[in-house]
Amino acid sequence: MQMNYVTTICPYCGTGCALNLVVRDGKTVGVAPSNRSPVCSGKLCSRGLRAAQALDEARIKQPFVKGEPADWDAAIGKAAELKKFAAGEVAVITSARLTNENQFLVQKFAKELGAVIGVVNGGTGSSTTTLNEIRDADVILALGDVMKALPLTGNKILLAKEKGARILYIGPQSYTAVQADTVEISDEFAELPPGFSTLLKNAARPVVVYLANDAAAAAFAAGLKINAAVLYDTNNGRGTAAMGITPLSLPETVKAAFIIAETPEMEKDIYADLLEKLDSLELSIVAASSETSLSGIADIVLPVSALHESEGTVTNWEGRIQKIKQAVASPDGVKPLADVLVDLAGKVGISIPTGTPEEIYTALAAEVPVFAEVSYEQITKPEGVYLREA
Amino acid sequence: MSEKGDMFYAWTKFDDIKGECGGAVISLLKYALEAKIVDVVLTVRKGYDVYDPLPVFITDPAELASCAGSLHCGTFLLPKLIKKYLNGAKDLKVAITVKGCDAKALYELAKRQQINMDNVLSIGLNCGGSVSPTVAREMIAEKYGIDPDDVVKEEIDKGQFIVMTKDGQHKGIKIDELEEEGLGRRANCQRCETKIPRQADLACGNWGVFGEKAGKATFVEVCSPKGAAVFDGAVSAGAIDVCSPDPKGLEIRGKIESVMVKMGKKAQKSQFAALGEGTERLATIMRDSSRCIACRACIENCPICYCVECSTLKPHLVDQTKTPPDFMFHLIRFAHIADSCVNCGQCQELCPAEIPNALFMHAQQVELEKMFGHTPGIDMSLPVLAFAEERDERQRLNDTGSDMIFENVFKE
Ligand SMILES: Cc1cc2nc3c(=O)[nH]c(=O)nc-3n(C[C@H](O)[C@H](O)[C@H](O)COP(=O)(O)OP(=O)(O)OC[C@H]3O[C@@H](n4cnc5c(N)ncnc54)[C@H](O)[C@@H]3O)c2cc1C
Ligand code: SF4
Ligand code: SF4
Ligand code: SF4
Ligand code: SF4
Repeated sequence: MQMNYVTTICPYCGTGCALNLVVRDGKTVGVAPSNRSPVCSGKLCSRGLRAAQALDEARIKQPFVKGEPADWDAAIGKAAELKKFAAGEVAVITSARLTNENQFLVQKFAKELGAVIGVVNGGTGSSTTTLNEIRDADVILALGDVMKALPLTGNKILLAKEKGARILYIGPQSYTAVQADTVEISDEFAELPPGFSTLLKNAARPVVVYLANDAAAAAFAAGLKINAAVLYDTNNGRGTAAMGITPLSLPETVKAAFIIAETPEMEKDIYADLLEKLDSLELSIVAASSETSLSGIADIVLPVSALHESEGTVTNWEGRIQKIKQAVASPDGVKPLADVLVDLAGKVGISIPTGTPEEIYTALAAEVPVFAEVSYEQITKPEGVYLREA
Repeated sequence: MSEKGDMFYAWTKFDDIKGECGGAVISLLKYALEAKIVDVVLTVRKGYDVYDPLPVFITDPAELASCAGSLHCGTFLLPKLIKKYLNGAKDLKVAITVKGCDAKALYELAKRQQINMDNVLSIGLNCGGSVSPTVAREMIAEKYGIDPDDVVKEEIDKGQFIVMTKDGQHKGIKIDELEEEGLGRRANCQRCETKIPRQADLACGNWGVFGEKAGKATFVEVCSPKGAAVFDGAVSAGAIDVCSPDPKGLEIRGKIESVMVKMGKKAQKSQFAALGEGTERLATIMRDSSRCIACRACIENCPICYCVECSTLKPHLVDQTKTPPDFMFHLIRFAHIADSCVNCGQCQELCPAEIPNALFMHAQQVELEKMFGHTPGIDMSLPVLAFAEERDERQRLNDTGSDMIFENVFKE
C-alpha cells in the first residue's frame, strides 16, 4: 500500500483554496484540508470537499468521431480539417479552468491559426484589493450573491463582520443578503441607497465586491471609486483575462469550432448557449476531460487530462498565482491537453511552443507583461506570487 | 519486563534519528514496523515548512527518521484517516501517534465499530496544545517581528511559545499574553484537559525529564499490556535505551499536568460563560449557526460522525435547498453527538462560516456529562445515546424493509 497527500489548488471557484488530494495506490481517494493555505486555512466548501470524486466523474477515456470510438491518429487526422477553413471562419472556445500554461498554448494555437478566441464562464476586470484586505475592511458592499459563488471569499466577509465591519448588500434575495446588516433587495444596481453612501464615504477601508461576469455590477462599482474585489467564479478566470482572452462572442462568419470544455462537474450546464449553435457548424471539435452536453454531439471528441493529472499554475481572483500539482497519472487513452494541441498544430501546419510546464510558463512570462518577473520556482511557495499589476 | 503504570526515560539508539526529545517515539515506531508488529505507521511529517505538517502513511522503516520532531501546527486529527482510508484497520495493523484529542477520537470511533482497536498500536504524545498554521505565521510576523519564513523550529516550553530562526535567534512570548489577543493555541486546546493521553498504549512527552537526561530523553509512561510488550521489545531489540526517571522529574511532571488541567478548566469556564446561559445561549448558537453554508466539513471531519445515511441529508428533516439551512441541521448534530464530543476542534477550525461549532458542542458535552456521568474518549464505555451496532442495525432495517428503529406497537 502506497499512500500520500498531494497539495494542490481547488478546481472550482476563483478563491483558489489549497487542498490535499489523498492518493492511494495511484488513485485519488479523498480530499483533506491544507491548513497551511494562506487563502483558506484548510477550510473548504462543499465543492472543494468533493473535488476528488468530481475530478474522476464521467471521464471520457477515448477519442470519438461522429459518436463512434476512434483511435487518436484518426481523431486528430479528422480534426485537422480545421485547416480547410479560412481565417475568421474558425473559433477557438476555451475554458476558464485551464492552467495558465495550457491557456497560453490554446491562445497561441488560435493566433497561429488565425482563429477568433473567446472564453466560456470567464470574466473581465482586475481587483484592487485582496482577500486579507476584505477581512480587514470596515465597510463592505456586496453586489449580488458573491458569498454563495465564492464561499471562502465569503469567509473573509464573515471575518470582517466578526471584527465589526458593516456589510451592505444590493441584489436579489440570497445567502449574502442574509449575512449583510443592511440590505437593498433589487434586481438592478440603479443608484446607491442613501444610507449606503454615507457609510461608504465615512469608511476608512471600504471595499466593493462583485462577480467578474456581472457587467452591470462592474459599471455600478466603477462609479464608487473605492477598492474593488472582482471575483472570478472559475479557478483560472483571472489568469485567462490577464492573457487578454475575453468572454466569447461568436461572429456570424464562424463555420468551425474547437472547444476546450473543462468543467469538473456538470452541476450547471455552462454550454447551453453553445449547444444550439453547434448544429449549424460544419465542424465541431471538443477537447475535454469529462462529459458535457457538448461532448455528446460534437463531431470529434478528444479526451484530455483533468486538473489532478496536470502540473502548472492557476491565478485566483486576487491575481495570486499558485501551483497545481499532479497527483495521479491520466487514465489510459487520455492525453495531456498540451500534447493534443501540439499534435493538432503539426497536422494543420502551424507551430506552437512545446516543453515542460515550467518552460511554457517561462515563455508565457516573457510575453505577457503581468506575469513578467515572477518565476515558476517562486510560485512553489504556499503563498503563491501576485501578478505584477495586483 | 514493564507493565501498565511503569515510567521510564527512554532514548534512541539509532544514530540517524534526531528526535524532539529522546527520539523514543520514532524508534518505537521503527521497531514496530521492522518487527512486523504493524504494517503501516500513520504519523506526521513536515511538508513545505514547519507550518505545513502532513499526515504520512509509512511502510518503509527507513523513511521514519524523516518524521522525527514535534510539529505544533499539526492541528488535524489522525484517527478518522484510519476509518476513511485504511478500512478501519480491519485487516491492516496500524501504529499511530496520538495527541490527547486523537486518542479520544480513536476510542469513540472504536466504540462505534469504525476502527478495530486490536489492530491499532497507539503512541501517545503529551500535548500542551497546537496552533493553527495561518495564525502562527501572522502571530510570528506581527507579535514577534520575525519573518515566519525564517523560523526553523517552534516549541512550547514553560508557558511560552518559542520560535527559533535559521540564524539562531530565539524568541519566546507568554502564551497567556498571546491568547488574550486571540492568538496562540486553538480555542479548543485552551479548554483541553487531556494533557497526558493515558488511553494510548504508551504516553510520551518531555515533561518530567530532569537532571542529566534533560533534553536527551523522552518520558514514557506505559499505559497498556500492548504498550508494555512493544516497549520491552524495542529495548531488547536495541532500538531504545532506558533508565528509571528521576523522582524529582516525576514530581514536576505531576505538577505540570495538574496546572495544565486547571488551566483547561478555567478556559472552559470563561469560554462557556461568554455563551450566556439558557435561552441566551440558545440565541447565541442560533445566531452564529445562521452563517452555515451546509458544506458538511464539520461532519466530514468529526470523529463521532460516521453514519452512512446522515440525518441532516433527509429532506423531511432538513430542507436541502436552503442556505443557510434550517437550525434543524445543527440540532441534529447536537442531538446525535454532543454526549460524545471529544473537543478536537475540527468542526470549528475547518468551518468556512467561522461558526464556533466545537465550543457549542463541548459546552453541551460537559452539561450532559454532569447529567449522565459519561466521559467521552477515556475508555470503551458506551455513551448515553450510542447506537454502537450501526452496521448490524442498518442491515436489520434493510432486511426487514422497515425504517423503524423501534418496533411499531400500533401496527395491526
Ligand atoms: C502539538 C504537540 C504538543 C506537545 N506538547 C507537549 C507538552 O506540552 N509537554 C510534553 O511533555 N510533550 C509535548 N509534546 C510531545 C513532545 O513534543 C514529543 O513529541 C514527545 O516527547 C516525544 O519525543 P520523541 O523525541 O520521543 O519524539 P520523536 O521521536 O521526535 O517522534 C515524534 C513523533 O510525533 C509525530 N508528530 C509530530 N507532530 C505531530 C502532531 N502534530 N500530531 C501527531 N503526531 C505528531 C512525529 O511524526 C513523530 O512520529 C507535544 C507534541 C505535539 C505534537
Ligand atoms: S471556495 Fe472556491 S476554491 Fe474554495 S473550496 Fe470552495 S470552490 Fe474551491
Ligand atoms: S485538543 Fe488537547 S490534545 Fe488536542 S491538540 Fe489541543 S491540547 Fe492537544
Ligand atoms: S462546517 Fe460550518 S458551514 Fe459547513 S456545514 Fe458545518 S457548520 Fe455549516
Ligand atoms: S463535535 Fe467537533 S469538537 Fe466535538 S468531536 Fe466532533 S469535530 Fe471534534
